Amino acid sequence: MFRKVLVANRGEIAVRVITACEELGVKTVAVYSDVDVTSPHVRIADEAYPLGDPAPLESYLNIDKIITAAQKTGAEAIHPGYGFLAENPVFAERCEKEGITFIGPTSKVIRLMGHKVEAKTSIKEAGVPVIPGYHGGDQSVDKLTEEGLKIGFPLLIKAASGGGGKGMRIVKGEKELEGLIESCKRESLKAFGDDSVFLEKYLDKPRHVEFQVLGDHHGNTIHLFERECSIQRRHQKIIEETPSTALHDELRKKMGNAAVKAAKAVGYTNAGTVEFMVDGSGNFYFLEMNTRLQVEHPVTEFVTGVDLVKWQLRVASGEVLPIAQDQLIQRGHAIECRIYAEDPHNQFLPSTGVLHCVEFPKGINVRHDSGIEQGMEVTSHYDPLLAKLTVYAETRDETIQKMIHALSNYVILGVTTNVSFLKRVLAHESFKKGDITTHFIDEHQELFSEPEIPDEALIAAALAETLRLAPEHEHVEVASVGVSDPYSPWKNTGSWSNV
Amino acid sequence: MYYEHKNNMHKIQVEQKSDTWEIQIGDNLYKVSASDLGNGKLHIKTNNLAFRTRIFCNGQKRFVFLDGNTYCLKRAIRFSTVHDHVEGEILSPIGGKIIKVFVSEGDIVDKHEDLLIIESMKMEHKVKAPMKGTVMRLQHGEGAIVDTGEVLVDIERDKSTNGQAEW
Repeated sequence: MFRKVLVANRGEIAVRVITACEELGVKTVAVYSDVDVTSPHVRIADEAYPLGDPAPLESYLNIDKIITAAQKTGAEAIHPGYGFLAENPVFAERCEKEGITFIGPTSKVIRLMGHKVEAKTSIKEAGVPVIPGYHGGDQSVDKLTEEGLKIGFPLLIKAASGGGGKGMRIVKGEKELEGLIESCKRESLKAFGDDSVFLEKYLDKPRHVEFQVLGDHHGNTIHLFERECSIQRRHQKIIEETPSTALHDELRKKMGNAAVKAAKAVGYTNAGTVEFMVDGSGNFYFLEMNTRLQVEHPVTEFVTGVDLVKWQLRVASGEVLPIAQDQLIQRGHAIECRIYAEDPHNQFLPSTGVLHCVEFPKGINVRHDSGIEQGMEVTSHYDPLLAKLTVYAETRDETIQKMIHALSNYVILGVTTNVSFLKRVLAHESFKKGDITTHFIDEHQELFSEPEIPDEALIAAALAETLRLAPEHEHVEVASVGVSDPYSPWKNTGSWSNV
Repeated sequence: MYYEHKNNMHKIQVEQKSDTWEIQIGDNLYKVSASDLGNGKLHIKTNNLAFRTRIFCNGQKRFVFLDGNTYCLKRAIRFSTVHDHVEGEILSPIGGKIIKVFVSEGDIVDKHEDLLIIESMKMEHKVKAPMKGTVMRLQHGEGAIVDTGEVLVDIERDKSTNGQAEW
């Protein structure tokens, strides 16, 4: 095992990784930008190294600074968390060159999986189904149009280097095909510096189901079952669960095998995630592979009892996977909600401000991964993910109940969050039935109707004044409350006397 | 008191009775008792239910957390700058609690006569009649919590004094 590990991230994931290192007796180095100097991840680490300017490119995305931090502090390995440098092949390669262990797969695998077209080609060769489509090198508009007509409609155009919904077009019919190919290419070039696109069949009732895989350096690869991540907004997940209601045992086994096959085909090591789309008829297709720890890994940890971050550290330090596929079982049900500083009623745009009152839910099998605390300011520099709330129970119904209860006791005042929106999703009849697709939020606009303010809230506000929880009233000059009448008696009643 | 929530104005009338409150919201009257658990936490009992809530006040903003929902309210002064002030309406110069009312509706008051006392910031403020006239309406009784700018008393000017001289 390593003696010292640098955690090249911030927020809840930095806290999560540092805690796992501590448990293993590994010393930790946190890195932080100027605005994060008092953040929890900085305080819990054994050492902290400043990165300076908060702009990501000057701090958490700055390869030179992070390598220097590792060298100066004597860290033998770097855990990148997720986001920032986690899937950057240049960074992984640099670590390899400098003799620092990158806790993740090799730079070669990251590079391959980062290019969606090449990734699909190698996965398809391994015999794993991919969505019918065109991933060819001939990128002329004529060829793309011809291939598009072959696949049929509706059809999806995607940027080869894209992500997060950028450079994506849905084509409904032949008429608009050519125009949309051209506009997608223009957007991709601008956003990613690469105008290659691919075409895919657009799926009916699509669900996003991914498999956690783990490979060691001794040729062993296992999967740790699925996570359903269909509840998304702006093409980003907000609620994840396992098991998925879309899978039955046979399909789960088939997909698990496919995930392991895909990972083995590319020589995958460490923790990774194979993402699939599952359609309404139970067909599944490889979507992409995430070469890192996922945000939603806690649900897998609940149902398998495995500490994924510890296993990442063990595997990276050369240990053999301690468990075989047939020793793993998926027990109970787990759901994770991502707590974002964002306003669901304003297109889920991030909100900023100071976290004034903060109180997290507690209870049996209630897990809260957080990098925030009361008094902290949420700035616009980084991702607005504040924390993750994960709960676990025997059945899905019970887990939903537990999550609704936990969210009902989740207090963050001062910044707009998605907590009450999440609660409405969980309480929705279709969600309870497991009747979900990646379009769930778009198709259920009723999720956006907020209840009228109850009298209880008004009573509470009024009591806050009388109990003097509110700031004392400033003495407001009468003129300032708008008495514009120059003959008002208030102009000349003289001063108030204290009696 | 007035609170604005999503462009709706809510009027709340509060009357304090020793250690309980009577709160009127629309047609509903609530008899309320509350324990302050510190750090913005309140345990509130109304007519037939008890609930826990958490409040954070920031300037005129009130964040109320209740059962997983956060309501952002704005404490509002009833009269905006465009209000056309009616002569004879006596507005509260300060937010606080009415602890004493000296007059009744129908009383004839002299200029500078004491009308009522508002307690605010642990000090008492006497509100006096700005002119001679008849008390037409008393908007609140003793124990009421009033806001800055809220109407306290309507006085109809005594015409016999013939106007401006008495101002």
